[in-house]
Amino acid sequence: MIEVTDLTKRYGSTTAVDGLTFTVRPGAVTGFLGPNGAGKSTTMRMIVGLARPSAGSTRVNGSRYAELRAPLQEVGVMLDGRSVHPGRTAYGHLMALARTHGIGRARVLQVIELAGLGSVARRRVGGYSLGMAQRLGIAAALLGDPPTLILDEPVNGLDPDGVMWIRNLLRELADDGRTVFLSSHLMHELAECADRVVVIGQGRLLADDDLDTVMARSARSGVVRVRSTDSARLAGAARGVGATVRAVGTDVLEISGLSAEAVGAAAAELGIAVLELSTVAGTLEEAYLDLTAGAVEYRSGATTGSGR
Amino acid sequence: MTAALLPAAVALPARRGVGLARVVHSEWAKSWGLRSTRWAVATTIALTAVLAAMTGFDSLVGADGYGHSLAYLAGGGLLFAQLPLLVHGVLTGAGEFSTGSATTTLAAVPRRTVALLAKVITVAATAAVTSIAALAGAVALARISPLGQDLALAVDDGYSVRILGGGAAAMTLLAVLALGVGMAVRRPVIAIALMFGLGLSELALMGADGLAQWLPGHALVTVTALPDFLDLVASMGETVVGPWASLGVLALWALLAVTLAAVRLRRSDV
Repeated sequence: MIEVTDLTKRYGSTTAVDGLTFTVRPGAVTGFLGPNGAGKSTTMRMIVGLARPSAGSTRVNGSRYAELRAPLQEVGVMLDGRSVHPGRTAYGHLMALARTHGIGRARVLQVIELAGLGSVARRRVGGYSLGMAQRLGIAAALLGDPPTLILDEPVNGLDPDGVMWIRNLLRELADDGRTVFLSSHLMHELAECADRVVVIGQGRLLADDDLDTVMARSARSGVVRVRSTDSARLAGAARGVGATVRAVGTDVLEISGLSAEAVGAAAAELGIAVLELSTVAGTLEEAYLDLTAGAVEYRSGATTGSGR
Repeated sequence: MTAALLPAAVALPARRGVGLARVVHSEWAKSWGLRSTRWAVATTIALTAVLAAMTGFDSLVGADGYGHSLAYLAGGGLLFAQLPLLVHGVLTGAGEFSTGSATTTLAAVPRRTVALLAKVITVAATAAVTSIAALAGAVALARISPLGQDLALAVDDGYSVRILGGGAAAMTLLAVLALGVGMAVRRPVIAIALMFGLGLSELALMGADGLAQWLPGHALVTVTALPDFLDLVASMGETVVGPWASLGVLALWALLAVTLAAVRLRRSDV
């Protein structure tokens, strides 16, 4: 369980995190989503006591991080795949980490195997690929068998095998009743593995809800897509009852404000043959773009205002 | 759950917690796991011993010039042999920040004072053992050098113990000072430049005025000097800090640097 209350972080005149309040619950995978510079990493660093909040507080498993007796056994942390001294071997790094908590060598070997690092564990970390460094970060996070995991962009740099592996691992951790909190800028990645999402933009909370609820809130959610033999007449009829219609190509319409049943019935009444009829489900991408539309800090100047 | 990705954890400690002993154990392993540590230690030992052996071939000055003291000849190389240890101290502190590993270290050990204290103990122990080994090697090599026959190692001469014991103590304190500077500055190159300046300032300022004696580099020079030299300097009326007191001055410098490191560690973000 992670509790964030009125969390604020200012650097000079910039406010990186602005009054964030949310709770990450056990037994679920919670995604932490936001554009670059939204304050995700800063928030995670404050949760584990590496950065000091300007205001507000964070608690992990009911305690302030600094007050945890055995942090590695309470919270597994992976903040940056490159937070290891490059001159150390994976084995040496994990062993040194284990010793701070009196964790035995057998557990170190176990997480090395678990993360698939068995063949490279005696090599120095400086020569690792990003994917291997990520696996080492995850091995380190799991070392103390913690009930809470905080992972910053864990999927970054992993090959497709690795992506599948971590997705299954996160699911298993959550099903085991643990709290799993991971940030990502890859929305489809979160759509695949998260149960809940916390969305922030410019340091402010934009959404904190079930993944499905957030997706359903997308403006495109509930749009009916219809391909028919007479788009023009069908569009006229739909507009006549107050629906919004957008033509997509020559024979496809996207209608919002009417159910698929209503559109189908109307077409039958008008004697128009319906070739395809479907309801567009919102995607996390769309929900995210809607939510962050006003909260993107860096938007490429070339694309701003240029219509499609 | 088809594939059991998560086996039941083994070898978790019966007693939970992050005590100083555990963190020292961890820091010790971290330090010796690095090639730079092994190089620094080996270079310090080799430099001290080889410089002593080479001095033992000095037929120009002869045993008289070395006060017939094996200890004095052995300690002669420490001024240069300290440099690898200073680099080691700096890297132990600043390296955590330049490589980003401080994140891992401080997430595992959130009590920053404990994390720092463990580093101080580790660096001090490494430097002490290294200096003792270096001086032992230097004495052994000096003894079998040409001058060696005319040199003696007397425990009761009043200065052999000072040169060897004081030399090792000064080296240890200098390494701790370097750690503190590295931890406070967080940038290896700047910290190394600062430390070399502090460690060698004595050479530039020697005899210039009374200022040098208040600098950290003074201790190593005075504790390894012969009584004649100390008497000479004292007779010039400028120097009030004797060899043992200069170790105290150096200890205060080390304490100041470690305190600054502690303040920065507690106050600022990682």
